[in-house]
Amino acid sequence: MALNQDGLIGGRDIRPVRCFTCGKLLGDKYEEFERRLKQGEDPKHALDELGIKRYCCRSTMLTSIDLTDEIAKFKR
Amino acid sequence: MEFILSGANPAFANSIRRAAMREAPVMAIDEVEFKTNESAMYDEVLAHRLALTPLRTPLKGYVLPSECSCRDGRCSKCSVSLTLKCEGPATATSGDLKSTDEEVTPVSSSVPIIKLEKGQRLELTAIARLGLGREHAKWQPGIVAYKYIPIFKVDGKACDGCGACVKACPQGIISLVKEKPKISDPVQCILCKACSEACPPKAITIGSDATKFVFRIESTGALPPEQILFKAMATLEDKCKEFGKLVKKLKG
Repeated sequence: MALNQDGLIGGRDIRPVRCFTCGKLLGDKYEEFERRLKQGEDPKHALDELGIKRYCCRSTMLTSIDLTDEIAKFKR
Repeated sequence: MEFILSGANPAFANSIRRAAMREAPVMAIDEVEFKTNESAMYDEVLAHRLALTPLRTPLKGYVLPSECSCRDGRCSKCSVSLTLKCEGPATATSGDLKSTDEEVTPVSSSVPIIKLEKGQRLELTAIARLGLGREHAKWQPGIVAYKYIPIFKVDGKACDGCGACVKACPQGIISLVKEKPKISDPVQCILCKACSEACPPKAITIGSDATKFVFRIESTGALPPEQILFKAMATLEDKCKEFGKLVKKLKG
């Protein structure tokens, strides 16, 4: 599984507000999801507990990459 | 919300699904005026994120801009304005949106809009309007889907009661009753046919009942699921009536 510098899958990113495929609201679940991963929780268990059932939403949660801090270095 | 629709056909079930996804009006941010945006992201990106944030929609009181007498979509009957003001270091979230109507507020207050570094400011006014899912996904009230109820048939002569189907079922809803497999809860069946494939004597056939459907409505939170259904059915009814009138004209 790919881990970034924070040891997270994904990490702090420009979090998609909704699932790219089905449109479920995911934006409000990242913080909790990341907190759980940092505590060493299994991503599968965390996703299940957050009620993210469909594989489209699950992959959106797992695979988004953090870019906010990178982009913040540059001017628009 | 889950319910079973019986005595219908696939065409009817699909019109309900489509109407619920496309025709139940909900509020969403449609226009954003930026006063200050010193964040790392472009105005358009932030506007898009704001638009996708679901807003609670009151059942009465607002009309679609296309049906409003004001014509420009900016009066209090067809629009709500929300303001956001945030200064870094902080993350501007949907909870920072201050609405002029307390009934039109973000469903969740913790959707991050943008992370602001020290000294970066963000100030904007957003205008939310009613809209239909057929125009943009931000106005979709939720996810509506249905599936068939299975017809689970066991050839009593061929079945040897080995229990391979019980193990194969990913939903764990098959059990042996007097050495013959039975489905305990047909609604849970996902019609994957793992049971019939796993059966050594090929005694199981899975069909689908095209008159019975399991419906599932998952709201974004903008409207309660039953309201999505009521509104969808009302539009469907209106459309059928209008079609009937046009057919009558054709006759006359």
